[in-house]
Amino acid sequence: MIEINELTKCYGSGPRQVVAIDRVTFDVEPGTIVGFLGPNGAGKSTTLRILCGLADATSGHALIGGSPYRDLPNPGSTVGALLDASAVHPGRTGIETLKLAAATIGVGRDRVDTVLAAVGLTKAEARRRVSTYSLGMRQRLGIAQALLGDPDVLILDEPANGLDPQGIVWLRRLLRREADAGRTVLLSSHQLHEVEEIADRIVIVGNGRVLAQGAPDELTRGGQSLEDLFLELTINAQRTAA
Amino acid sequence: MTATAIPTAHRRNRIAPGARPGLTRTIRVEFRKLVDSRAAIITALIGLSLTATFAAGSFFVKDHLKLDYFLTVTGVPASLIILTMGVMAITSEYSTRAAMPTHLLEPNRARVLLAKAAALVAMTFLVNIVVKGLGVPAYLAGVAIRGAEPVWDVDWFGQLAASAAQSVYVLEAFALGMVLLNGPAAIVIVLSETSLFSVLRTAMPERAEQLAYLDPGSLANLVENATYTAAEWTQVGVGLLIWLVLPAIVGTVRILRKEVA
Repeated sequence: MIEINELTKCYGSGPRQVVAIDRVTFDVEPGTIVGFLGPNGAGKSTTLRILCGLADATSGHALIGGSPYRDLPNPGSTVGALLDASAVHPGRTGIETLKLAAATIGVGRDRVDTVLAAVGLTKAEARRRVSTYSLGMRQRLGIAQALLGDPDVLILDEPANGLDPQGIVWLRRLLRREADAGRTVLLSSHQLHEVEEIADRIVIVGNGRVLAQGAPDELTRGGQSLEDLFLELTINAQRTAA
Repeated sequence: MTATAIPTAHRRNRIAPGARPGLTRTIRVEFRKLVDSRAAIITALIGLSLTATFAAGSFFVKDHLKLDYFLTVTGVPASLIILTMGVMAITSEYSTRAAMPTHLLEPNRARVLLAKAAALVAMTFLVNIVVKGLGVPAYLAGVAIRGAEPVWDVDWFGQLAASAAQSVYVLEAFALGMVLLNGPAAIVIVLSETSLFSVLRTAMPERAEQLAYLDPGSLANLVENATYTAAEWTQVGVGLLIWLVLPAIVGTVRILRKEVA
């Protein structure tokens, strides 16, 4: 269970203050997938970084299973987070990256083999240095690392970036399986079609604010297509900001 | 919500959410990270070949080479390599952005810094043991090739003190890396600070006494002179405050407050 309540983050102070996210509020229930949708710069990554304890909120709170991320005793066994597939040491091999994570979480070598198989990276690919990986392979490696501790909660920032069409189908099925097994899944995207087919609920953000949220059929109740709604909301938000 | 309908027993392969990992586990991971990247392997190979060169070269410098002198000379390349390792232990995390996965798995950043420091000290002693351990047979081989008699007067306390001093220098390098979070800049400063002070001493001999307090090399001199006077200890103390304690505080605060992105 993820609870984000009135989360606000400001950078700088005085007249030059920039509000990155403004009272963002939404929940992700276990067994569901929430798509966190918004254009670039809407505040998705800032929200997820605060949720994962990498940045401090100015006000409000973000909780996972009722506690802040930094208070989780062994976060890797509770939350599988992939916030940026490029944020990985390029000089290490894929398998070494996973072994380090496995050692930190305290799970055995067998989990490394299991997650490699789950994301479809071969042994030979895993033995190569990450610097030789395509973005799609880095995404798979990052997802493998997120799955390593068999967590209850998955938090993925733009996981579909760099994946080929088969990769996107694979990811959709993987996340559906995880949610059906009772896991809480939050994924962000700036592409509507990536989330509309998979998400049980969609949270649309623009210019740091939640503009709409609900199940896809709730959002389109007004007869408007999801695409039109998304464009209208985000363009309006940008206009108001300017 | 569908959530309540799913029994927990349905969950496959559940790994019990582990207790907070012990500090030794974090230290082991950080130790491994010192040597498992391409850059680390290349650095180690450079260190190894330089050490071999120094070992071979030292036999041409002196006719009656003492083991103690041999071990000191052959330790020089490793001591420089370890300093760059001290800097890169922290700067490479931020330049490659590997800090993000690191802190997702261990959000307590102070604990990661502590583990890195401990891993660096362990690495310094390990490298010294290996280099000196291989140094003894290398010395015997060298002496035999030159047809000379081995001279076994090793000051083991001095060697140990030098290793201890080296681990302090590694921590200084680590602290400077934390402050600057810029590998090349920190490495240049760490490797040139000693020569900078010898230039300053030559340029202003009348200020030599004051300079000794600021000189990070005071610690090395203390160990080398092996006189351990109160005045020397004071110089070392002031030097440690400037080059270790202050940068460690500033660097730790910087990293704890930093947004990991």
